[in-house]
Amino acid sequence: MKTRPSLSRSVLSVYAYGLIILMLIPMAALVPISFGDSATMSALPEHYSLRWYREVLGGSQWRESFSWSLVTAGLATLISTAIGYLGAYLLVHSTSKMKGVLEIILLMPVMVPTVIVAFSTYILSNWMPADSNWLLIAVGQALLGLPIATLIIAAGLRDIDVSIIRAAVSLGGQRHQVFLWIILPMARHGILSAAALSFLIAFDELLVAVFLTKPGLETLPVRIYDAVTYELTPAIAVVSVFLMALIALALIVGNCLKSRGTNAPH
Amino acid sequence: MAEVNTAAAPAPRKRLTAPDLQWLALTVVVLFMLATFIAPLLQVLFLGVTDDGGNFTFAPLKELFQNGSLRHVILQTAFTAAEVSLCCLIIGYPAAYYLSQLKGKMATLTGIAILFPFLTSSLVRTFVFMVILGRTGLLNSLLKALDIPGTPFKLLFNQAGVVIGMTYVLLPYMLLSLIGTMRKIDPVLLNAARSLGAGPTTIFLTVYLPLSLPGVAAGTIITTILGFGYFVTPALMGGPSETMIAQLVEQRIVVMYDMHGAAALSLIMLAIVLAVYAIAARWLGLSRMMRPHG
Repeated sequence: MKTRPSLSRSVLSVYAYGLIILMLIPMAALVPISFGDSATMSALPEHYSLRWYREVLGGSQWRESFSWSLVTAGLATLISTAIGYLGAYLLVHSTSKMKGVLEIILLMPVMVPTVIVAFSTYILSNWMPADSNWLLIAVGQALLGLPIATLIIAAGLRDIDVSIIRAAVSLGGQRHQVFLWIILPMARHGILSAAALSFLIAFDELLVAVFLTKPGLETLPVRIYDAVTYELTPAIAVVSVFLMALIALALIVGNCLKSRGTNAPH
Repeated sequence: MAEVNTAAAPAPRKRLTAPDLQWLALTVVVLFMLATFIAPLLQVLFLGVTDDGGNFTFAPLKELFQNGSLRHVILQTAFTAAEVSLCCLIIGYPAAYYLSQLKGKMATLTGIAILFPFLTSSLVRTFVFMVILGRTGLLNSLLKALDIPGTPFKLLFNQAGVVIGMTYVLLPYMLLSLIGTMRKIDPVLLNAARSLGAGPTTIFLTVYLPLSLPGVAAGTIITTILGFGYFVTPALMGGPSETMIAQLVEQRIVVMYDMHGAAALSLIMLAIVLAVYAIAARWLGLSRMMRPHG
């Protein structure tokens, strides 16, 4: 393609890069705040120390909510990836007329406002034993990730060449062998992305967890929400820096895997 | 007898045929969705039109409609969602236009730069803007240092704060859906238009813009509907007069234990959202709307 360097083009490029920088600067601004020394939040701390890092990492409160988040989000990821795979399999391969209905049912949790999905999960908790709240938080979080997981896995399955599967079957491959050795490796990328996104959605989920929270069962977003509402200390900046570092790490790892995947000969 | 038989001569292992597997998968998926989502959702809708005894009544809905402040909240919510989505589109379109034409390393880098805020917790991103827009926040400190008159500006706990915060949180959705669509626009078409003598403005208005409209529609619908149901940003960055519907539902459940009221509110919310979807689906298609960049 011919590119003519023109004034409007350079204005556009400045604008585009400027916007990206503007999107990133606010997040970078949290780093100095997290090293602040005072008991209250200040945008430009006068003294720097590791005080709030010690407070967050040393205290049990943040660690406890972090592990609750890991538990519920991990479980949610398992559920939404498994159900999402089955749903995607049906959406891609089923010839039934019910496919349209199934698609709507699977996509509904993302169409319906989150607060209503959370409300449904809260209703569900009235039908279940009282100590099952942690499980139901995972279920509610799984519902929110399910539509996206289904779509990502379905896109992966659609890319698989059916003739390869036919070849495997004609060579005598049993169904489970075909699934394990042919379909799963080819759908791997979609399944992994679906799992990663489901995890992030579940880990960031607030409302389901707010409705089902009780003493001793507090996920990280609930803890952050409470802290922002009532305390507003640099501890929140510390936790935010941690979360951002995790995302950055995940992006780098994901990108390395992806470029390795595209470079590998097929 | 039957036991002896099978032990003596095991029947050839029955292989699940594809239709069988499909039925199994369908049963699992439908049962899961029924038990965890459809049934409780129906219960929510049922609660919205019944009283404590389970008798059918429009009282909760009527109460909401007679309540003047609720009408204000619905309008406020719809207005904020529309405003935010428009901001995202105006800010995002020119940038997406440029970014969609990048290739190679720059395309990867800018892609990551957009994904980073997109994937970072929306709570964290909202908190970031509370730090920036506050009375003693970064922006006001900066403006004060520059001796701009009128500082400190009140940018938090009002409509401006909510719109700025939500635009920041939702902008990546718009960018990703715009870039996804724009990448698929065939440059050959633009070259053809150029070789036929069209000027840059004509090419943009008659070729490029119409071809990018699916992305515009998808991004606008996603940001509008997400904005309409948004909780975190208005709850943390808005004042009492910026209350949005999701907050009312949360208050009714957590503070007031008023399930019927919360359910009636959910009914109204659902009706509005489904109406938007119905209109959008007519020219977009449902699954297309969901994965503009997939």
